[in-house]
Amino acid sequence: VNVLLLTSLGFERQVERLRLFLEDAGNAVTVSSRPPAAADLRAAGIDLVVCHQHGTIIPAEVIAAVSGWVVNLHPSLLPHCRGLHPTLWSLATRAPLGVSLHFIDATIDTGPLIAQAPVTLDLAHVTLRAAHQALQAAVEDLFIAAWPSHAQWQSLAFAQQGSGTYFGKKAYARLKAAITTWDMPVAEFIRRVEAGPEAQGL
Amino acid sequence: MPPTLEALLKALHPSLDLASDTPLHAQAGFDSLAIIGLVTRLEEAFGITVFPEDLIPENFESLATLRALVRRNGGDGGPEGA
Repeated sequence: VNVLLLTSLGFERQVERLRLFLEDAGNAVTVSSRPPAAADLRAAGIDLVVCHQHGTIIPAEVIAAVSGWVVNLHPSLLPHCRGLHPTLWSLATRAPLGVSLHFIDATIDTGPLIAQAPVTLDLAHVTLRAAHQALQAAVEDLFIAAWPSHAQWQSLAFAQQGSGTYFGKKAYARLKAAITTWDMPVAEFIRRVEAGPEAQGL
Repeated sequence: MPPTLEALLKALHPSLDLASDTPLHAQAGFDSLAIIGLVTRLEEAFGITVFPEDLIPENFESLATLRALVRRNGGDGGPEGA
């Protein structure tokens, strides 16, 4: 399989595990942080686009250029916490923690699911940084576990159930104000989010 | 008063050639860790939030594209040419 591993500028090192896994499995892998154009995908003969820590919306013509084979690693239990900063929102809203591998469709994080897994964290003793790392590792584990059946992903995929929740840019101010350091305990982060901006001196 | 964008870049990465035709993100030493470090400093210095969709090469081409990024996110990128 000719894979484009799409990430964000600065995050190239954080997709190394997936790149090495895919290459070891005999696939050709290109890592890029540049939003792809449909013509470029066709010219490069890309079969599958894998989005991992990538932030731009994939246009419909790009999805069509690879016959729908664009998947996303999302560190929440979809449809909970679609959109930006899913790890932080999962913690802040006390949503069930987990990870999802799904197809990308025309709207944000709503595409059919390929696989999901719950994640258990001891929120009384874990920091924001550790929670983020644990969920990123878990979503990579999920992708690797699902890879052997990749040829059947489109036939196996199933619709997300329920409307879930979505958090965009505007909502992020609430979270940002609650974060004093990425090494703060998750319990303290949740307490500050729930206390609201007034309690944070804003 | 926040530093100018140029001063911040020079302080963080003295070897960057801001006048070069080579994009900043492609210059030697300006690797992925350096980019994440720069983003953190931009957020601190200019009181902005850089969202995941901003982390694309086009925004890290030159002083001008970085200034535009800071301004788009509500910060003062400093005067043109500074």
